[in-house]
Amino acid sequence: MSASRLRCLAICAGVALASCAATPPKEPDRTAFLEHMPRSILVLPPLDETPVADAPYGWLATVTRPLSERGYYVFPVALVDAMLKENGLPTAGEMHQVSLRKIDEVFGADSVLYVDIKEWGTSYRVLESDSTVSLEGRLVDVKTGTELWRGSWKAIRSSNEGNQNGLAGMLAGAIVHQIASSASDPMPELARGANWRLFNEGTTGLLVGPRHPGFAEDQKNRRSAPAQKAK
Amino acid sequence: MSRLFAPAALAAELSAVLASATVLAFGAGCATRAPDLYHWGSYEECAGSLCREAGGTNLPDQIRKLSADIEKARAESSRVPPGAHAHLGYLYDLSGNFESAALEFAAEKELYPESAVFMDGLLRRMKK
Repeated sequence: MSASRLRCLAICAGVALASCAATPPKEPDRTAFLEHMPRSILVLPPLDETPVADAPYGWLATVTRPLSERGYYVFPVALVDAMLKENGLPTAGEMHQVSLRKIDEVFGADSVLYVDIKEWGTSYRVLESDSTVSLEGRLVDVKTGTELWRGSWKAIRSSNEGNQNGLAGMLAGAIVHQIASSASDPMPELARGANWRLFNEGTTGLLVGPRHPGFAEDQKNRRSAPAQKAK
Repeated sequence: MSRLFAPAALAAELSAVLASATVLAFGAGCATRAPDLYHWGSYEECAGSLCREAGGTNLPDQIRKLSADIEKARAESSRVPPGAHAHLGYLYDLSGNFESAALEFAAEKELYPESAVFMDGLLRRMKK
């Protein structure tokens, strides 16, 4: 076997290895989450850093399902919103300042989810349009104030996704997308996808909750894992 | 008919198609989610649209929809999602039907004891 052929083999092997090694995200420290394992989540209306008036309620209409399907009791978001407003808290900013003691008293929730919408909406350029949802979330234990989880996710969908047809194709893509968007808002679906990735992703999402069929096994595995730091 | 479509050839072709279909199904299987724990119906979106409308103009419509969803979940013996009974109670409360509202709040508490503190509070307020 010639030297050059050997080198080629080595390179090929290297390429193959590298392509396998797209590193999965590292699992964060789950100690606090396991220690204060919540059964229920109170979702507060989100802070909104975008100029889009629809963003907070658009997002609120997509958050109950992924959290419930993850195994948690999720308080009814519209009723919670109404209760807080009735009690003199008209904005999400003020709601996020409510003391945990008060939340415990009124709702009896185990944990509170604070979400900040960083980006929300569709921007149109000459040849394409991008829809974006960017979220940051924090789950806090109501009894102790301990942060149980933190995460963020940004979802982008371009009008040119999968479009390889050059300029004409791009133009058509942008127009079709714009027409489609005015008929049906792409945001709910994009937000749903972003929530799903943010909360239900195995390594970085929330731990599986008590109402999930996989709960007992997940807890057992995590609590017996040798990697678990001794306290 | 041509020999190309003789039974043996057809069988071979069929099995090839089946094999590739199996591979496809298997590949797709990796990406699909487990079946839902709950029967969702309109609840999630309904809750969002109510927030948006702040008070809701089409309450009877929303009540009808959500009641039907809950009935359907029961009929299919799948589970009513967390918050759905409470939300229906809220819709009744907004439309002045306090008796039905109280029944729904009680149903939420029974199905989901996690909501007990909140539901008891709502029921107490209604009695005042």
